[in-house]
Amino acid sequence: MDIFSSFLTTTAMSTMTWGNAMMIVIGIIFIMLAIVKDYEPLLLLPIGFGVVVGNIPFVQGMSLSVYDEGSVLSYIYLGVSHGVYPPLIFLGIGAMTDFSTMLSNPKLVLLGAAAQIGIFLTFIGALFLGFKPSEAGAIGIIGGADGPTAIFLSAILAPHLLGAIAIAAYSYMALVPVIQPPIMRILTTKKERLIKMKAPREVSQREKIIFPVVAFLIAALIAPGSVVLIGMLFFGNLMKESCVTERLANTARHAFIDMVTILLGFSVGASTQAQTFLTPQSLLIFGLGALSFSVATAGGLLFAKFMNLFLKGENKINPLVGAAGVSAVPDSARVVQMVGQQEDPHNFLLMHAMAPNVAGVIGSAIAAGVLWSVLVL
Amino acid sequence: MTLDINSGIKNIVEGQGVDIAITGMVIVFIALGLITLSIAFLPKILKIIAKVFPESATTGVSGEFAAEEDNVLAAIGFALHKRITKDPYAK
Repeated sequence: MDIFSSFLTTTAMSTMTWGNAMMIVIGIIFIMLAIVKDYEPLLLLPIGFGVVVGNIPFVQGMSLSVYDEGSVLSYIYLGVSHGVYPPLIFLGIGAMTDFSTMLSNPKLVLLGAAAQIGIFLTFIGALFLGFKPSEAGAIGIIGGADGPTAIFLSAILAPHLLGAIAIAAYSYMALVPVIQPPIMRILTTKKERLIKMKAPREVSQREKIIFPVVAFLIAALIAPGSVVLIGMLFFGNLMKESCVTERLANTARHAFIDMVTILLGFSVGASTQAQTFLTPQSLLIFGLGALSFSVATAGGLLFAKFMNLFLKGENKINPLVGAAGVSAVPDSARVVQMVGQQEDPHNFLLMHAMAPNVAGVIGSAIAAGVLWSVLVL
Repeated sequence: MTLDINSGIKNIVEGQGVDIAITGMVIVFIALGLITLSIAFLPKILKIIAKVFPESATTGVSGEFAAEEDNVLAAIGFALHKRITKDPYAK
């Protein structure tokens, strides 16, 4: 009987708090959104289940949670806390990305640059609210709309905020079809939304092979902090475009990226224990995250309108395409296509929008490298 | 966590927020601007290189994507066939 009653005190039910219960409900909601609504299921389902697992109260003396040294979850979480998983995901992204739309209309790359204003204005906003500069940098990167980059920079600058930042980044990426369209309609006129862009030119295989090497050298020499993310992105792309390492590229964009996504999503979810996640700081992070997405969308849109002042005729850019400068690939480009087709069903903007979309991936990685260099060194 | 405007502005000044933001945006624009210029000049440089080392006739499309292109062509062909057989005089 004594043994049984002492066992009862070690069950999770005796140490469950309201915070843990709330987080378990949130995890289940994430799972439901993934399965029922099909909102980013590859991310939300592992994260959601991780949240449920991470909020089962653990017994002192038993090494079980991500924060307990020597536990299985802590070993899986090493890839997050040491910034290993994000570059590996970028390898897979590079192996599945086609840069030819960007190569055929290079001026659209600048829209990807303009959208990174969301990162830096959010950085200022986080400082205003009292966050330390390193914390503000980690929060600002949510505006890049790039989950792996957000996790990579948070692990370096503000590991204690990683859970909230990762959940905010991936949640808002899933909400791109909800957040972006109203901003796109407010900031553009009907005439602008009807602009039809010139068809992209054919891009030779040589261009597609040389581009990743040249682009990597430029980005890495200017912002060395981005060398890991950008390097893996373009390494994956070169494996794809060279056509001599198809097996490796195939593995990178299928099994490899899937394995890393599972481990990253699950361990990030498991790190969001109620004690570390349910804080006033997390609410502020969520609020700043929404702001950063909105500002990034607006930044790309407004820069496209600015570029149109200098462009004529069929070279004009449909400003909707600027909204794809956030690096939520390819959801943002799909949203541009959808909003454009609501005005004109014969206006196909998807391939044009992919150019700033993939440029945004490069831009957010460079911005992360800059913030790392400036805020740590 | 301070929330009043004066201490908020003080936080931005002490954290060099505006300086870092402007520097960051300039660096991002310079990097992507240089990438834009390199992409714009690449076809011209390759044209010169092609005079010495001509590009081969095969497009070099990777196996998986070549198969996908074939599938797309097959789908288009099927759609056209269905349309034509439905209306033999359809253009």
